[in-house]
Amino acid sequence: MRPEHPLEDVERNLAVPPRRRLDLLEEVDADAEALAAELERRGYGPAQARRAALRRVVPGAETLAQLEAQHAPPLGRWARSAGWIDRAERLGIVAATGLAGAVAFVTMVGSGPLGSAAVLAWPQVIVVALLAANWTRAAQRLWIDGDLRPELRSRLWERQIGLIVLAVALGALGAAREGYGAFEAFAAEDFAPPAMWDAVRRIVSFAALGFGAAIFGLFGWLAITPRLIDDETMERRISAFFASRLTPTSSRRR
Amino acid sequence: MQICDIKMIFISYLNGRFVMDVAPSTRRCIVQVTLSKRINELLVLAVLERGPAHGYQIALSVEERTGGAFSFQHGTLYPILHRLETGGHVRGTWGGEGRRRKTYELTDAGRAELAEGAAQLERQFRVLLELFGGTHAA
Repeated sequence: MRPEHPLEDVERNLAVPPRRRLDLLEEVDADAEALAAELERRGYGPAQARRAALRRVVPGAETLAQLEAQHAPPLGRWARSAGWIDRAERLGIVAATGLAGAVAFVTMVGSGPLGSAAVLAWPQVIVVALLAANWTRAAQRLWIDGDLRPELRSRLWERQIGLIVLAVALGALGAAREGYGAFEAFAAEDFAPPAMWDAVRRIVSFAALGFGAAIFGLFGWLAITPRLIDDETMERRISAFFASRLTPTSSRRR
Repeated sequence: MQICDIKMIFISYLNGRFVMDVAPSTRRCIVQVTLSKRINELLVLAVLERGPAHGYQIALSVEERTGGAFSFQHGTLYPILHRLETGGHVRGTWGGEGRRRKTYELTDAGRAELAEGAAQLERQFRVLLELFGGTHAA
């Protein structure tokens, strides 16, 4: 098991954007090393100097909370100062529910009276709501908390992909089901032109809702991708930083 | 009046939180305080007035110049520095060869802030000394 760098705990507990995290880690580490060297010059033993330096510069829990408040994204700072930080998630849920409601309304109007089509239409609505909620959670972590860690990021991404596939599948299934019904009616020679157009409209609305949800899910994720790429780059640099700092301070100086 | 008494009045007035333990036999005062933002910021600005410095140099300098009365532990210096930087009172620049190091220097706004803050503290301190001077003299 590799030894843990004293700042790894800070890295884990500091919920700020990775760019800020890296800056702080580099600043604190450089100061800790220089301070330990200075204390050694003043007569401290190497281990004693390092301990004293770390005690002075490594942020404690209270300091971390202050740094988080300072380095939160602007939206997060506003949410904290306005007392909205706890309500932000609920705001997201309201937004997702509103969107799902709008989609539900369109679906109801589009699919006519509740009948067999609703078996597939309603799951589609739920999938859209889940997509919106999933995206909202990612966006909240990025732009309000400022910190979306790799584990949660990959979990949200996997969920988003799953929901996109489900939306497309439900759209295709609904369209096929409507198409099959129309084909049966056509085969039974019981298919007047108005009924045909109605069948086409239902097929198209199912397919459109499925693909619309998929596009919404994909483009929603695309909108946050630049920030995610930046975060990943910074996280790699943080990992590289810790990898390079594993050599004990005293032996590096020698 | 002993130095520690002045310090306690000063800190308690500005901060409202202190723990005092005076052992009458040794006349030793132990003061534990959570320093106010204002004092901390002014201390940092006062150190930087002498010239640019790294974070650890600021921390050491504060400790030395105040005879150990004020010190930054557990990274408490960084939120102060970052707040001053955001407020435009200090300028942080990254440098160093191979390894990044951050250096802070005082800006004109910081210099003005220090002058104003120091004058304000002096006024407050004088009022307190006048207020408590009579009690101690008695």
